[in-house]
Amino acid sequence: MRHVRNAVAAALFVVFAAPHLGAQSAAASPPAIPKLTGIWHRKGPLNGKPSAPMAPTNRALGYEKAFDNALSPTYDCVQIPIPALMNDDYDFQITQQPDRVIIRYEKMDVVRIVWLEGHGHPKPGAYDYTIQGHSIGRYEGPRLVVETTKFTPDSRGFNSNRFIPATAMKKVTETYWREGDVLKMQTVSVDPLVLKQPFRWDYEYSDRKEELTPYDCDPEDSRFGAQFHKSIYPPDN
Amino acid sequence: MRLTLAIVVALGWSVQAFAHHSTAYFSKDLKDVVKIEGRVVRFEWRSPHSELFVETTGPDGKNVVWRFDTTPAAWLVREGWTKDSLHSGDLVTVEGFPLVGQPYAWLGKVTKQDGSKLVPQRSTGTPAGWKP
Repeated sequence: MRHVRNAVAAALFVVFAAPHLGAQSAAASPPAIPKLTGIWHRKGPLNGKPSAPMAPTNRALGYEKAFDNALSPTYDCVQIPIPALMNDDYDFQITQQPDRVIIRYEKMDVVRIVWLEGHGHPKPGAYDYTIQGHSIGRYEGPRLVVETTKFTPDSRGFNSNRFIPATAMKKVTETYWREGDVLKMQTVSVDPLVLKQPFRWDYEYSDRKEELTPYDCDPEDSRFGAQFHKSIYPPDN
Repeated sequence: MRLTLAIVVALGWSVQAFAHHSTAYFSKDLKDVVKIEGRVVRFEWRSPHSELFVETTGPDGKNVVWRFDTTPAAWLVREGWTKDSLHSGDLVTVEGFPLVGQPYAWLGKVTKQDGSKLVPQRSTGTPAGWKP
């Protein structure tokens, strides 16, 4: 009788429990992380299609019209925030670590840390705004998705060639993935008071072997030329 | 044939724009192009502009140091420049596009004593129609 009970128990185990154990075993293996580590050289618009122009609000256009070039923080080597940081013709390096992704830019020697979800990194405090904001990332299959908020307001909020300002409400979502030796990037920026619709900046990059060139900005040298700009305002008495 | 050549030249030498560090005050008139022969005082390999300082003799017989700004180091690398392309003491001939009335110009090209040339990319500071 005991043999029969054991046989029935074994059969029930095979029918009901084993498949779940198999599934758990499969689930225990983490999904493959896309290999994005490398130095990436600016190639061209994503899939050859230039991004649509920005659609600033009237208050943003008014700000730009009133802005005097000599006031630009760029002259003082102040970092340009993302996504403007990506507009310019410079390369960058991605280094993936278990709990974070580090992105280092040729432009202004900027280093960003993207904290990966699930590793217990403290959230920013109410007053913790920075030029590059606070970035949280996650892998979605073959893609790295990064969401950044807590930017300090900046006159160069979205594009390095314009003075459309960003407010502290700006949010930037970046997506990175790889197709062969090409890194593809999509960015979507929203900032409701200054943009009528989300601003997209999509680009692709090829693998680069050479080290990044240091930017090495010197504030005194950088601001030298600003004195020769003709101001849009009359001189002070 | 000339039109074809002009199109080929234009496509092969693209303009790099960086309005955030404007070059608007440099003359875009070809008649203002300066050509300075002198000795390198300093070559700054940096960004947003690399800088070349050349000492020469002015029209009044006095020494004057010209400052030439150019594109970022990261862009010059793509044109074959290195941080060691120029050294203090090098004899050079420099063409540039000046801020009229000032010993300050946007760099067009450098010709070294051995005849070799250093030419940055065309940019917003380069007058249309100028050829290195």
